[in-house]
Amino acid sequence: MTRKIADLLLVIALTLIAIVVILSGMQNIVRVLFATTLVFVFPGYTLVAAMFAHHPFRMETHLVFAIALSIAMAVLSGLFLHFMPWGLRTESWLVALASITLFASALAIIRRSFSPYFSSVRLHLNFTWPQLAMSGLTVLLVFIAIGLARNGIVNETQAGFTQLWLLPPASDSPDTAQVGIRNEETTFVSYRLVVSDGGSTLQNWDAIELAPGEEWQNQIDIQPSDDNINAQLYRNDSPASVYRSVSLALNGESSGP
Amino acid sequence: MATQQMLIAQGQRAVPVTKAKVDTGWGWLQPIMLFQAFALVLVAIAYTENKKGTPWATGLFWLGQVMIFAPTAYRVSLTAIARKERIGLIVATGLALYLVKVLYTPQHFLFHDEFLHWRTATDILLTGHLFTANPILTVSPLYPGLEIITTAFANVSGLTVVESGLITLGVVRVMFMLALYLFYEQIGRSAQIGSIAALLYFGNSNFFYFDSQFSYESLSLPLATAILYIVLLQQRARGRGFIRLLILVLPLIVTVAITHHLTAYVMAGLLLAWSLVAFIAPRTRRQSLNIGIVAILTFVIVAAWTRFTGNIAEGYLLPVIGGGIGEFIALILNEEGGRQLFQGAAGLMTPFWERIIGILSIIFVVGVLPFGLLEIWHSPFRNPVHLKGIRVLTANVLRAWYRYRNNALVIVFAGIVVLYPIMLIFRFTSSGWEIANRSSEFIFWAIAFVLAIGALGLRSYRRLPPQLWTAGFVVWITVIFLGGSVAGWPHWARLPGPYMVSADARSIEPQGIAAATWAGSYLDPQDRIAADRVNTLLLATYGLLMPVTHQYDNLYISPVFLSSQIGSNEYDLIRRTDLHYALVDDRLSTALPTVGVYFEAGEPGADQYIDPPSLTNLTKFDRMPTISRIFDSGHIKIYDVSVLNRDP
Repeated sequence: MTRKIADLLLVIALTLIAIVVILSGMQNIVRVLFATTLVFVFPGYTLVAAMFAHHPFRMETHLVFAIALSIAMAVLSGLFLHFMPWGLRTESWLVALASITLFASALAIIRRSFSPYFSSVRLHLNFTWPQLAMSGLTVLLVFIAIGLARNGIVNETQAGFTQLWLLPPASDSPDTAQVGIRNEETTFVSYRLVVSDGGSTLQNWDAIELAPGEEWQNQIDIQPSDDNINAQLYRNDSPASVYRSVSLALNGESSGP
Repeated sequence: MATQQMLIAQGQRAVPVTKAKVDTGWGWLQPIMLFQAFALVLVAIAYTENKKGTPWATGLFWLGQVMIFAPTAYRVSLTAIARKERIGLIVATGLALYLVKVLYTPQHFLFHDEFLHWRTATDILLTGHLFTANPILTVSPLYPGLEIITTAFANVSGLTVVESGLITLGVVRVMFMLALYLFYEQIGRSAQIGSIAALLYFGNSNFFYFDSQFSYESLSLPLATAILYIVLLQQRARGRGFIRLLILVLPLIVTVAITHHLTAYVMAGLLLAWSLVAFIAPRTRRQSLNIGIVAILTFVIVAAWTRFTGNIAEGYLLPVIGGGIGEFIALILNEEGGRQLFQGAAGLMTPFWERIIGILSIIFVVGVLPFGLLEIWHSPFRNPVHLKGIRVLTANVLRAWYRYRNNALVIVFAGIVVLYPIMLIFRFTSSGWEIANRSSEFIFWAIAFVLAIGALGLRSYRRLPPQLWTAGFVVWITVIFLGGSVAGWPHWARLPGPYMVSADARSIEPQGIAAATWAGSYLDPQDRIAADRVNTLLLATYGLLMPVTHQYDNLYISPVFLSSQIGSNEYDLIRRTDLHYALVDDRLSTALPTVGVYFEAGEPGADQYIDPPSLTNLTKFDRMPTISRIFDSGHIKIYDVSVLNRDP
C-alpha cells in the first residue's frame, strides 16, 4: 500500500516543510529549492497523479505535464487572487499552491489506493559512480562559467562618472533647493561645489570628499529675488574646468508660441 | 523500436537493415554534458574578452556553440543508443544553450523585450494586482502569464524578479525540451526521429536568444508544444480517456491564451487546420472529432481573452503584418527595392563567414525538405504495383509507412513547410523581415519534423556508407543550427561589448542605469518624462516612471529632442503628453542608431537617418533660460521642461 503512494506522501511532507521554511522568512538556497518544487512541480505532479491514477504516464511524460500544469495552475490562481482583496502576496500564494497540492495529493492517494492497475512508483535512473562524478563536475563547471560571466560584468572597464543634481523647492519648504552629488567614479574624488545666482556666489564647498558609491546632499537657501541658481562642480585634481553643471530657473514663464 | 527494426522500402524492393544492438544505459550523456559545461566556460571567457575588444572572442563564442551542439548531433544520429540517452541529450543541450543566454547577463536583464516584461512583473510585485498600465508595452499587462508565474516564484522564494525570471525560464526550458522530444517521438513513432527533429528545432532563428529571454513567448511556446503533444497523445489514449486529457489540456490552453497573443492565435489556427485535415483526409476522419473539440475550445478561449483585453493585440500586430505584406507585394511587383540582407540600419555588415553560414543553412533546409515531403507523400498503398511489392514486408514496416500518410498532423506539417520559401522572400522586406523572423519558431514545428524524416530517408535512399552519412549529418544539422543563430540575432548584439548608440543591450551601461535609478528616487512617479529608446526602458524599470511612448501616448516625441528649436509642433507634443521632464543623452550625437531609430519604431526619419543629430539640437534646452537642468552625470542630463507645458 505505502509503495503505491510513497511519492505522494513525500510531496505532502515536503509541501508542509516548504510552508514552514517560507513563512520563517529565511533567505537562502534551501528556501529557493522548496519554492521551486512548490511552484513548478508539486501542484501539477499531484494533479496528474490524481487524474491518471489508474494509467500513469512514463516519468518523462509525467514531468512535462507536472511542470506545464503547475505553471498553468499558478497562472490561473494568480488571476483568481487578483480579484480577491488580498491580492498576489507571499501568504496568498502559499495558501493557493499548497491547497492545490494537498487537495490533489489526497485525491490521488484515494484513487491510487483503490486502483487495481497501479502497483508502485518506479524511478529507474541507474547512475554509476563515474557518471555521478561527471555530473557533479558538470555542475561545478557551470558554476565556474556563471562566476566568470558575473566577474566579467563586475570588472567591466566602464569610465566612471559623477552625478550632480539640483532640485527645485518642494511645496512644504518653498525657500530651499536641494543639491546633491554622487561619486560613481572608480576612485576616491575630492570635489569643489560653487552655487551662484548668476552673478554672486551663494554658497561654496571647497572639499567634498567622496569614496566610490558615496553620496552628499545639502540645502540651498533661496531668496525671493533669485531668478536663477547655478551649481557648478569641479574636481580638485582638475580645478580649472567645470566638471558638472546644473541650474534652476525660478519664476519661469512659458515662452510658447 | 520501430525505426531500429525498420526495413527500408526502395521502389518495389525491401532492403533489410541489420538489427543493431541497442545500448540501454545513459551512454555518452555524462561525458557530453561535461564537455558542454566546458564549452560554457569558453563562452563565458568569450563574453568577458569581447567587452575588452579582444578579436578572437567571437571565434571562441562560436566554438563554444559547436562544442555544445555537435556531440549531441552525432549521438542522436546513431541508431543504437537508448531512448533515455536521447532524452537526456536533448534536455542537456537545450539547457546548455539557455545558459549561453544566461551567461550573457547573469545578474541583469539586458535585452530590449526583457525590460518590457520586467516592468509588468515589478508592478505586480508592488501592487499585488494585475493589469497595471505599462507605458513601454501596453499589451504586456493584459497578457500577464509569464509575469504571474515569475512573481509567484519571487514571492515564495524571496528572490528578485531578475533571479526569479531566470530560474522560471530554466524550468520552462526543461519542460520545453521534454515536450518537444515527446511530441516528435509521438508523431514519428521513433525515438530517433524524436531526438533528431527536436535537435533540428534548435535551428529556428528565434530559438537561441529570442525564446530564451524574459518575454511572454518564452513561456507560451513551450506550453503550446505541450498542448500539441497532449492532443496527439489523446489520439492514442488507451484507458486514459479523452475527457481526462481534455481536463489536462484546458488549463494549459487558458494559460497560453493569457500569456501570449501570437502563440495563442497560431495554436488555435494549427488545431483548426489539424481537425479540418483530419476530417477531410481519408483514414483520419475518426481523429477529427476529438481534435475538433479541442480546436473549437481553444478558439473560444483565445477569442474570449482577446475580447477581454479590448482586442489590444490587434493594434499591436496588424501594423507589422500589414506593413510586411504591403512591402512583400511591392517587392514582387518590382515597385520597390528589397531590404539589404545581412546589413543593419546603421550600415553594419554581418561578418563574411556568418553570411556564408546563414545562406548555407537555408540551402541545407530547402535542399532536404523535398525528401521529407517525399517520405510523407510517397505511399506504397497508392500504387497497386507497389502494393504487390510490399506484401513481403513485416507489420512493423507497414506501420512505419502508415504513420505519416494516416496522421493528419503530418499532412498539416507538409502544408506548412511550403510556407518556408515564402517566408524567405519576406526577409527581403523591412517590415516583412519581422513576420518571417517571428514565424520561424512556429513554422519550425513542421520543418524540423519534415527535415528529420527527410534526412533519415536520404540515408536509406542513397545507401551511403554509415560513417559518411553520420559525418555529413553532423555537419548539415550543425550548419542549420548555426545559421538559425546568425539569422535571428544581429551580430553586434550576440556578445556583450562596449557601448554603441541605440543598440539595446549594447547601450545599457552603468551611467544610464544610475540616472534612471536617481530619477526613480527623486522625481514624482506621476510626472511624465521623455527620453531616447534605451533610457526610456531604464526609466520605466529601474526608475518605475511613466515615460512617454508612442504606444501609450499615440504620438512620437522625438521631434522635441531632435529639432533645432522648440516650435509649435514641439510645444504641441509637450502639452499633449503633459511632459514634465526630458532626459537627454548626448551620446546620440556620436553615431547613427544601430537599430535604425533613436526613440521608437516608426518615428519620423526612422531607418533613414544619414547623419546623427547635432549636439546643438540635443542640448537646445541649455540655451532656454526658463528651463532648469536639474541633473547632470556627464553624458546624461535631465531638464525640467514643465514650464513649456503651461499656457503662455
